[in-house]
Amino acid sequence: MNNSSLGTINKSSSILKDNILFYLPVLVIYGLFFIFPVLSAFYYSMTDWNGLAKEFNFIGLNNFIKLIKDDTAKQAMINTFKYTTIFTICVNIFGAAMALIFDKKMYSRNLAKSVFFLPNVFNALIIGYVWSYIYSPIGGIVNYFLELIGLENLSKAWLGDMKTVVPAIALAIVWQYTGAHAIMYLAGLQSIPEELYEASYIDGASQLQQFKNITFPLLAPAITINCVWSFIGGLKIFDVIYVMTNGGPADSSQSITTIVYNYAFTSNRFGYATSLGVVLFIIVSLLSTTMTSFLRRREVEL
Amino acid sequence: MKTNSISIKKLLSEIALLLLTAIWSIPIFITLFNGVKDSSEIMTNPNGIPQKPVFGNLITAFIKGEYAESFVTSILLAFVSTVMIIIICSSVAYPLARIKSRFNNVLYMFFLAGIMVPSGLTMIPLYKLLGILKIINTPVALIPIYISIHTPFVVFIFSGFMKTIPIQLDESAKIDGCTPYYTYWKVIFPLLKPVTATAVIMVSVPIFNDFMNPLLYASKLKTVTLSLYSFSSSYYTDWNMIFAGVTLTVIPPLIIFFIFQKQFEKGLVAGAVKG
Repeated sequence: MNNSSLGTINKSSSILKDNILFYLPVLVIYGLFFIFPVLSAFYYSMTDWNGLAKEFNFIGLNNFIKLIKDDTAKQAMINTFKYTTIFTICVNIFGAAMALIFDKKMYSRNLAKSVFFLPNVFNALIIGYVWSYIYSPIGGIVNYFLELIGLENLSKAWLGDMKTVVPAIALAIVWQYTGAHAIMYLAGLQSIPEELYEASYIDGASQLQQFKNITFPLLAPAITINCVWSFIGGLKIFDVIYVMTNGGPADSSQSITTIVYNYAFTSNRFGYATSLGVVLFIIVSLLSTTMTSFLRRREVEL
Repeated sequence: MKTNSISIKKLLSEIALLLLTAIWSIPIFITLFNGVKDSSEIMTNPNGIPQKPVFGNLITAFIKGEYAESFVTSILLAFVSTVMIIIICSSVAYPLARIKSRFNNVLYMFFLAGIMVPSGLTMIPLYKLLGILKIINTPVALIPIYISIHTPFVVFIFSGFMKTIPIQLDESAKIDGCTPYYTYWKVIFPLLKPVTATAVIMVSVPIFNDFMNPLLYASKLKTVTLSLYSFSSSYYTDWNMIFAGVTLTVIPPLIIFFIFQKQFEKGLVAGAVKG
């Protein structure tokens, strides 16, 4: 028997040799343009490189020590948590609620599904511009509605106010991704066997009891994946902020990634900016693995 | 009596859903309406239906935004990257799905970890690397970046699908004297059509729409998003012109969406399956 064939358990070296052409392209590209930059980021984060100079110095953990005293970075970190929290909570509640509606036999559900999903195929500029317009103090529809219901004293420049700019941007992104999460939740709902509902109906369970004892526990895998996806997405937020406010007013809407961009490409602090990128990477990987294992634990096997 | 009350309840819930849908679609209508208003109408009628639509805005935007060139660039960029992603990822997914080895486990872990890496981490090293390779500001810089961004997801859905293909097919091909490469290309790859279609849609639209990577690594290139960005920066507060520019970039993904809505849904569901 030829022990190098596919489908058998084998020594790694001979497998690699016989299938090298399958692996080679991905190893070269993913290795050079992804793994290598990730690893070298840790090195750059310990240098004082300014982006232009050919030579730069290794300065150990100095960048990280400086970060602790950096108020702008601290603000960006707090903002990133705000963006992530608002985004994760809203997109999952709205997404799950819409999925429950899409699961019902209604005439308008296909139209609704299309409209909710549509923003998912728009680029960040489209989202940024239309929501900047919606929030704008002149002609913006948010203020128009407030006037309509007699609350004109609440109207303001939503993106110009340091208190409202973060939730305002977060809601624009919620609008973009709710439909996608609804479809993922819908798939979870439709994977729950119909017999369970029938059996519980015969046993006299109410709709509320059915939701509490069947739908919610069996939706757990969908909840896990949706929460983790939106959570990671929220922590990485960049381009819509860049388009809508570029971090302003007075850095009050910066996220960690927009700060990394600004430190590097507008103030030429490439090494320092990378150290912030490293911190973000540690936050994302720690929190998302914790979240995954926490949510996985409450999933039940059928 | 009872059926009557049920049907009224049904009617009310249909109306409620339509109302919700209408509210959700407001930003879409604002975009489409305001792109065809003239500069005075957008001030007097900032959100309503255009009274005397001027489609000339779209033509002005198309010419001034140099969209002809940027559409070609973005479509080519999305096309070439997508083809390469499909070939590269499906080929590595094949041994990943078929062979159990420590090397494969490690590779799988590397792909999984890729999902957690924020662009803030790789932004600067990539900028430096592309500079060393002298490909900054060229399309060649973006293609390998797109390939590595989309590799984890596409490898997962391909290897997941391949596990459902009976291994007997591989074995009989081997008995007939096929090499693994020949088996993959002639026996397995043609069976991947449904999942390939899903992957194409899930990958090509985000590449066409991408703004951040061209901004960072190829800002002198004319992609659709960079053209829209410089076009609207030059119009600053002329919202009717900005929306005309936006409308042009909305149209291609809109068409793709209405043709391939099923593929989008399948792609999301594939991504939602426990990995």
